[in-house]
Amino acid sequence: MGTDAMARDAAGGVGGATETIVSLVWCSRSIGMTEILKGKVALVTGAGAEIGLATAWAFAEAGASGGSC
Amino acid sequence: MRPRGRSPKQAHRGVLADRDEQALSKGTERICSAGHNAIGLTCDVTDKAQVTTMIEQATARYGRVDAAFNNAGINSAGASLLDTSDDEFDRIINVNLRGVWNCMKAELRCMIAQGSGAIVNCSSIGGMVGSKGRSAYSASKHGVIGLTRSAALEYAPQGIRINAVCPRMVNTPMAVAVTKNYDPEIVKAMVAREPIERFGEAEEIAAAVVWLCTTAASFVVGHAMAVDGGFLAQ
Repeated sequence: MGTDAMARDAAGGVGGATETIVSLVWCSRSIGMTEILKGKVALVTGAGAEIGLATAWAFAEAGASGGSC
Repeated sequence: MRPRGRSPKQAHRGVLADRDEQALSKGTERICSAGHNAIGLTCDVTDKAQVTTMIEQATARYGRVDAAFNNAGINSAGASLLDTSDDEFDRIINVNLRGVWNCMKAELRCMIAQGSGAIVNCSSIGGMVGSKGRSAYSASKHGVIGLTRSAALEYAPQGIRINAVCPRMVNTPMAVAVTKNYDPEIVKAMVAREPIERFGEAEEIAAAVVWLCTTAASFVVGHAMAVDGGFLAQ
C-alpha cells in the first residue's frame, strides 16, 4: 500500500478524511505518533470517577500533543 | 491560565459528564486549569431525556462528537443470586446496560450525521467470565459486550467504530469499597492472584480507551479488550 493510501486508510477512524487530516495523520505516523486527536471532540460519561477522569485527561493530553508535528 | 505555547486552536475539546455535580465540577476544573478546553455536563445516563440533552449541549458547544467513552457504571453488593433483590438487579442493569444503550443511541445519531466517530464502552472482566456473588453486575457487563459487538457490526459501514474495554480490578474508590471490609491478608492474597501482582491504575485503562479512539486502531471493530494485567491469560 502506498503512503497516500495508508494515510487515507488511517484517516477513516476518528474524524473526516479531509486533506488536512490526511496530512496530519501521515505526519504523525512518520514521527512515530499515533494520536491525531488534535481538534477532536471527546465525550466521557462517568467522568467524575477515577477511570472516567483519567480518560478525559488522557484525551486532552493526546489531543493537545497531536499538534506537535 | 493556559500554559505557554498552547494556542486555543490547538487545545483539545472535551465533554465530561456525570450525575455527581461536585465530582464533575472538580474534574472539569482540573482539565481546564491545564489549558484544555472542556465543559462539564450533569447527566444521569439512565434518563434518556438527559442523555439527549447532553449530546445536544455538546454539539451546540463544539459542533460534533468524535469520540465517546461510555464509562458511567455502578457496582453491586456481593450477594448470591437468591440474595439479590429484583430492585437491585434492576438498579444495576439500568445504569450499567441501559445507560450505555441510551448514550449509544444519542452518540450514534450524532456520529452518523458526521459520517465518522469512535465509541468505547466500559465493560469489565466481569463481562467476560462469571463471578460468584456478582450475578447482576456480571450480567450487566456481559450485556455491554453483546451490545458493543452487535452495534459495531451495524455501524462499521458508516465509519463508526465501536469497541469495549474490560478492566480487571483497578485502584479506584469502587474497588476500595469492595475490599475495605476484607482482612488485609485476603487483599494480599487477591493481589497475589493477579499475574502482574498488583491492581491496575485508572491511567492504564484510559490509555487503552484513547488508543481505541485513534486511527492507530482504525481496523479494530467490535472488540472487547481485556485490560487486566494478564488475568484472563491464566
